[in-house]
Amino acid sequence: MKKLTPHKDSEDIFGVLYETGKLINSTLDIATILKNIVEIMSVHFRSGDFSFLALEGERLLLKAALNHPRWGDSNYFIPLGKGITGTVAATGQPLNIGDVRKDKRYIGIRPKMLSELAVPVKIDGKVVGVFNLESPDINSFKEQDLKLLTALADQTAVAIKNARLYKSYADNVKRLSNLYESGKAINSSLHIGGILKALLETSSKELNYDSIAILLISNGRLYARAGLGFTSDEIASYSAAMGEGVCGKVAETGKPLIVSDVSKCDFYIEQSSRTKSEMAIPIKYGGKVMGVYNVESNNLNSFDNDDLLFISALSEQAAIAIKNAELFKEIESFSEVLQKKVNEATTELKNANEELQYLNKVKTDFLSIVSHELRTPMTSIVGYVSLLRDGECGPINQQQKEFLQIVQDESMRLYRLLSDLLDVQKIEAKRMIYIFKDFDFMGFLKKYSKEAERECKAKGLDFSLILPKNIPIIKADEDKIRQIMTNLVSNALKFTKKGGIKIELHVLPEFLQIEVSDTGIGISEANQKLLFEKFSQVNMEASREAGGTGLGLAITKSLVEAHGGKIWMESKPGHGSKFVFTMSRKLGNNLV
Amino acid sequence: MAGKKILVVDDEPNILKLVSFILASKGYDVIEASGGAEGITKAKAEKPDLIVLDVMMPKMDGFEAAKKLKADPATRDIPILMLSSKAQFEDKMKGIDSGAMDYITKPFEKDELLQKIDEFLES
Repeated sequence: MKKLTPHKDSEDIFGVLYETGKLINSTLDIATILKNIVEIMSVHFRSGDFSFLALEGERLLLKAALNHPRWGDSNYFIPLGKGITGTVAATGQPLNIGDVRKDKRYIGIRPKMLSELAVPVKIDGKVVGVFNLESPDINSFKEQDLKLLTALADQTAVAIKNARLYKSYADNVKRLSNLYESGKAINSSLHIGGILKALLETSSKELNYDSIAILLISNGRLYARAGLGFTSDEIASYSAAMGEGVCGKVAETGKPLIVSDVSKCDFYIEQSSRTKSEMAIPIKYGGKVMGVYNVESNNLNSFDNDDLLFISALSEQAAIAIKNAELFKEIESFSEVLQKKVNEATTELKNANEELQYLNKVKTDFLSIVSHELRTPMTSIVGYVSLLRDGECGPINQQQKEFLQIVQDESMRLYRLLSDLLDVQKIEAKRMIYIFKDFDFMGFLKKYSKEAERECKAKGLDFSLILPKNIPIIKADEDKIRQIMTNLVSNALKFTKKGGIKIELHVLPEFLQIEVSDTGIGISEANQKLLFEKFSQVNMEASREAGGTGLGLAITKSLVEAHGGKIWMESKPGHGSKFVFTMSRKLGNNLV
Repeated sequence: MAGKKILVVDDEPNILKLVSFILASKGYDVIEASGGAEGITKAKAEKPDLIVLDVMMPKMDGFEAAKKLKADPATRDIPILMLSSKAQFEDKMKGIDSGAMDYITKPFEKDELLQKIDEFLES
């Protein structure tokens, strides 16, 4: 770049401004902007003794310079209002001092300087820094220089503003992305420890901190639950009452606090002697404070509003996650309690069931033994009585014969009752044994009907058997079929005084249907429902008279169902009854 | 049927007496045995036309006795009528050559017993 002589004419100024404008505005990075300004100064001003000081709080700090003796000294600053530069910063007005020796405000930093030009750099009317030119000559700076430097300062201000906006925008984007990532991390855990760890990791990337502590309220007091920059012992003993210290205050009021200088905070309670500034943000759920996010720094003024907003947003997410974790824990412990109760109940049930099974077995075994043991005396009684009754041991009279018949019948009834009880037990314990073989219903019924017919004739009743031409062979247990038929026919005989009994068989596509009809007393509709229940004798008197056990139909129903069939009845009181049952034609062999 | 020889095996004296009486009164030649082992000995010695065998007996029950009778060529062909419950019979007969074997359940009436015996001896 060629070194120009300034203020030749107005065209020159515009040319310079155009070029500098382009240069300054070509970047959004403040450091580059300042570097470019220095470059421009070295090109356009002869003196080259340029400096730019930025106003930070009450101090003007050297940010860019040419030929400055204190450049690079981080401790160097000019207090606001001191010297020519400090005055310009304080007033916001430029100063052109032709002879510094005559100005009391002048502080000599550069040696052998005689004139000085200083203009404020303002953003939105507020001074953010000062451009400063010095010269070893008296009255070195003219009106043109003032105009040019002012114009440069304005351009620089715009560039800095843009750069700051951009940085703020870029920071926000970064923070938003961080917030999003942390949200994912925080919400990916259902345990408080994991949530707090994710919270610490995210915030530590963003903050200028020396220590961070997350405190949660438990029984009306804050206790540190996680932290960075602390030992585990320090975390364990870190606690505060509501209203006590910065954290306690935040917990009590529910409002965040930034303490830029802890020495000036009257309610500050020292945790670490190195802490200079502190920021505390409430962690709230549903408007209620559940904890405090506290961050401390060993430097003054470490936290700004952006930090506060960022941590507040993070805390909101954390609050939801913590609440979820608490709920999850509750559910977990509830589910544990529930599981325990279910286990206990299951064990009790299992024990009860085992006991029941045992008792049921004892009952079945008992009945079985009783039934078998009774066979021998029954056999003797029935056998000897029949010998006597039939006159095998000598002649007897008609009344003797009748009485012996009663002994015989009642003995058999007693035995049947036990036998039925045993059958019911077997059915209930699922121990009934079935042997399914090819079964010829035609042959069976022809043979069986002879017995039935004989019994009907003995009672003065008619008997008829109606069969189709052919009956297909089915799989069935012959003994069980005999038991079913005997039960139905003996019931019909018991309750029929006149008329007769009819057995009919129909061949259906999937079943054989067998009907046993009588012209007996019949059964009311209400009683029909009870008929197949155990110990249900619809007409108890009639049944007793007829010698029933009340178990026959319940057993019959179960035997029919074991053959894949159904049993039902149709009846009108006074008009007889019809019992109908079906037998499946599709049973396999040896179904047990 | 008179003249046919029937061996009755039962440990219960009353039943043994009853069955023997019924059969004897119909003209059968009756031999008695009060246990499984005695039954086998008498079956070999007397060569009866039929054996009425009780199931529930101490020491050697009816099934064991039947198994031994069926295994011995000397007694193999003698038909056996067992006095048992149905379930007992069906259950236990598996594993025994049940040729010429049947059962009658206790308690029985004399006509039932005689009818079965007739069927056996006729065939």
